[in-house]
Parts: sequence; C-alpha cells; structure tokens
Amino acid sequence: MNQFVFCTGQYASGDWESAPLVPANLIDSIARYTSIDVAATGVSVPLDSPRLFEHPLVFLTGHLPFRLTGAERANVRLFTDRGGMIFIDDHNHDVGGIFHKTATEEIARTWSPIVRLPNNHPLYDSFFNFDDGPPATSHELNGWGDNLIHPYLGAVVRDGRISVLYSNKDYSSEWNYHPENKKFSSVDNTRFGVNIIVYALTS
Amino acid sequence: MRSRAEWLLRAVTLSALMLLIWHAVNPAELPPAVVAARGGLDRALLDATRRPVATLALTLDSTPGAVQRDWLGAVRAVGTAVAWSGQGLRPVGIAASPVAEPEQRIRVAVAGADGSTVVLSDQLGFIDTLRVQGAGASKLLRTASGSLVATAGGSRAVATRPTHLQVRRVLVIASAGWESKFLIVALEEAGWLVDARIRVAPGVETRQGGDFPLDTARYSAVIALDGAAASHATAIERYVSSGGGAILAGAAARLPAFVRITAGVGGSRRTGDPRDGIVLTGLKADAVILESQGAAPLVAARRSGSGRVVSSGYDESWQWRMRRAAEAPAGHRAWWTALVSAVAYVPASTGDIGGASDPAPLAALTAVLGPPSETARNVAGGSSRIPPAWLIFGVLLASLLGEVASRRYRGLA
Repeated sequence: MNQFVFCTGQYASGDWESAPLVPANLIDSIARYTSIDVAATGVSVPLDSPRLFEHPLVFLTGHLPFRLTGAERANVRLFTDRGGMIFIDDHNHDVGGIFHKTATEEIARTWSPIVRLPNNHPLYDSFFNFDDGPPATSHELNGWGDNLIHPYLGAVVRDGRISVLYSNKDYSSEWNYHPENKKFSSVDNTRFGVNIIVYALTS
Repeated sequence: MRSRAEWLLRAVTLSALMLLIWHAVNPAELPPAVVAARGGLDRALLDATRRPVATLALTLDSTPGAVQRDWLGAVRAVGTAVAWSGQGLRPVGIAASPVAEPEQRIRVAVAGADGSTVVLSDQLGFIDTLRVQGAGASKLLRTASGSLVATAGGSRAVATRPTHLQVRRVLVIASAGWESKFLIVALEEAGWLVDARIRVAPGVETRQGGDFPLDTARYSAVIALDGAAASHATAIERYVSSGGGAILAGAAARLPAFVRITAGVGGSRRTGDPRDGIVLTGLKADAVILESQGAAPLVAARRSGSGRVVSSGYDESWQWRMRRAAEAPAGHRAWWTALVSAVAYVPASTGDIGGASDPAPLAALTAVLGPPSETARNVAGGSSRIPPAWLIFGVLLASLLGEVASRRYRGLA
C-alpha cells in the first residue's frame, strides 16, 4: 500500500473519464524519472467513496459542467482536511467554458475561492525546474480554446500546502497520449506532471 | 452515717492524692493529648519538646508535613517513643516530569490504592480527579501554576512544577511516499521543527530545512523510514552514540546497516487490521517492547551508547490519519509525537521551579516513625479512662473540704 497509485476521481456530473491516457502517461513518467514506488496501473474512485482516502492525490478533469453532489462535497472536503490534494484540470482550455465556470464555483463553494499560485512556488521546483511557472501547452499555443496562454495556476492553499490545484491550461489534452509516443517529442511534456506528483508526495 | 461519709471522703482524698503522686512520678505513663488534626500535632510537639515524655501517641487525620515529620523524628531521637495511627489516611504519591515535545506539557503521575480517587490541583485550585487503576494514573497538563498537589483522604502529596525541556529539530530521512509526507505533516502540526531529506530519484533528494550535520546540537531525533536512510547509517549511528534519538520504522528497521543499534528487525509477517504493521523479530536482549498486537511485537526500544533507539514495524501509519474516525489525525499526530518524545535528545534540565516538594508523605512518615501501630490507638483510647491531673486535684480538694467541714460542724444539727 505504500506504492503510489495514480487515482482519477469520478464525479456524478460531467465526463470525468475524458482523458483516459493521462494516468498511464504520468505513471510512465514517474517510473522513468524517479525512484518512487509507483503502481503500474491507476485506479478510478468515486468522489463520495471511502476508498478516496486510500489515494491522497486525486486527478479530476472534464469538459462538461462540474457539479458535486452533497455526499461528494462532504467527502472531498474531509479528504483535503486530512491532508489529501486534488488536481483539477479544465479539459476545455477556455475561461469562458462551462467546466471552468462551474469548477471555480464549485471549488469556492466546497473550499474557498482559488487564488493565483505564484510562479516561484515550490511546486515548480519539486523535481524539474520550471522557472517561468506552469509550462504552456500546445493547445494554448495553437489558438484553440480561448486563444490565451494562462500564465498562472490557481490553488487553494492551507497551512502552506496546496489542497486544490486548479489548471486552466488543458494538461488533460496535452498528456492524453500513449506513453510510447514520448519518443517522438524532443522534450517530454509530462515533466510538469511529475512535479505535481512529487510535490504531493513530499510537501 | 456522718462518720461513714467522713471515712469515705478520707478514702477519696487519699486515693486522689495517690493518683496525683502517681501522675507526678510517672509522667511517661501519662498519654499525651490525642492529636486529631495538624494543628493539634503542633501543640503536642511543643509540649513534648518542652516537657519530654517517654511515649507520644498520635492519632492522625491528615499526614504531617515535612517540618512536622522532621520534628517528630527529632523528638524520637531524644528518647521519646512515638507511636502513630491514622485510619483515615490514604497512601498517595505524585511525580511531575516534563515531556520532551514542543507543546511542553507536564506529565503528572499519581500513585495510590487501587480503585481510589485522587484529586489533582495546583496553586490556582482544582484541576482534575484521577481514578487509580492498578499501579496509578497519569495526566498530561498543558499548564500548571505553582506546585502540583495530589490529595486522597487526609493525605496530601506535593510535587514542584518541573522546568520545560527545550527540544530541537527532527530530521526525517525517507523516500518520497505517503508515509514520509504525512509523518512530516503530523510532526509539524504538533509543533516540531522538521528537516527532511526525501529521496525522489537515484542520487536526488528533496530537502526541507537546512543542510546541517546530524548532531545533538541541532537535532533531538532522527527518523528513518526506509532504505533511503542506508547512506546515512554511519552518521545516524554516531549521532545515537552521542546521545541522539533514532526511530527506525518500516523497512529502515530491516536495514543491515542498522543492525548494531536497532532494537529489533522487521520480519515478513504483517499483523493486518486494525493497525497493519510488520511484526518485529530478532529483538535484542535489552530491548523493551513498547507496543504489540497480541503476542506480536510492533514497537520496541533500547539504549545504544548514550542515545535511544525505537524500532517500529508500522510502515503505513498515514492510513490511520486518512481512513479512521474524526479524531484520526489527532491520534496519528499524538502517536508520532509520543514516539519522538520517547527518544528525543534534550539538554540537561535545570531542575524544578521553586517550592517544596513532598511527593509521598505517608511513605515519608513511615520512613521516619515506622509503620502505624495499634499501640497508639490503645493509648489514645485509654486516655479517656484516666482523669487528668486537674480533675483529680479538684476531687481531692472537694473531698478534703467536705471531710473537714463535716468534722467542724459535727453536732451542729
């Protein structure tokens, strides 16, 4: 059980399974770059399940409205109270998009409004160094979505630690490919995913 | 008739006179006043000091203080036999010691008769009531004012408040994982200053805190959770031998590098629920088991050099915090804090804070005067059968006057 198991959170609304290749890709990167004992396959756990507490880092994504049920909201709030961390990525890459609007509302309702995470936060140095903050995604650069490069990530920070990390950069699309295809990239674009996982495990 | 009465009065007069003479020549046989309170004891001690007697019998309803005990010892040393009893007195003892933790609590341990109730108080008044189970009871106090007092029946034990211990930083050496993450979180929540060296890749460590050498000037304890500590084994062993505390948990307890200092090595058997852990095997002869599930030891400690080492089979304690009931985080925090406190190096204490202590008054009284005796009760009980000298003298005077008056007024009627 001391293995790190990548966990995707299932929520009742929306399309939580919209980036099915992200877990395998990040697991591959963790195994490739670190000595962290990582399980070969990830798991999907409903947000209202007690099993959520077996996986202190949970990944959430989607395109559609993001609404939590009362049971989900209570469970994830307790989850973060205990020290768990949730990474939410907007699969739309669109500040006017429905996922962004509903997710930011839901975060504010469940925890507190997200704040801008400074680009010198330890998250950006937890393994690889990202001196300019969160790396831009190809979807930001090619004009899709809102045609903006979002220079910051949002977060809910408690006691100096990130409880909820929110991205509007569409890492879900950026990392949603088979790990074998990394060999065609000059720079592995999942490296920032390694930072998120190492940060969750060490901070 | 008158003649018979006069003879009777003469007999009474003579008897009273004999009794007074007996009183005068046998002062040692006269029982002192029965002491029923500490104020009475002071009076009796004054009398016995001014006018030494052969026997001093005390019936106590409260334990004498240290000064009274010393006085009794002095009276006894000059030849007065001191017998005492105190049916209402209850044995009670108290000890207060500082806990090596950031919160700087005080552990108060009380001892008393099994099942008895001990009232704990300080200078400001009542604190709590403790029920003695078996050997005693204890309580952790966040603060206390002045001396700590344990009262049971008429016994009153006093302990001075100890000075707080100044703990230093804790170093965690581990691989990246939930166990190390939540251990650091728990210790920081408990107030410890934590440095960490977390291995995330071969040859790559993330560091929290400064890059200081491991020594007792900076660290109170080091915690090793897994194989990442192997490269620090020499430094840890040196640190322990110089007085530092080490906790070897999970896989770290199995590392051959720690074989000289560990209390026990982790085997292959796990306990399963409710608290899953690795059963310790190969316990050293001087190891003390601190925690076990059934017959399976899970936490053991031993001294190594000048320091202390705890070996723990728990390698997934983070799940206690994440899975259990509402108080689970506090329980996880308290468990780790207690474990670190058990081994923590702290500089020598500067002693207690003022006040006179009297940690076990009944035991001290017994040490000075010996055990309670029936003699005291018998003497005390007999005192009511022997009239005091002033009463005898009064009877003597009355009977003498009566006899004289009878003779003077004979034939008047």
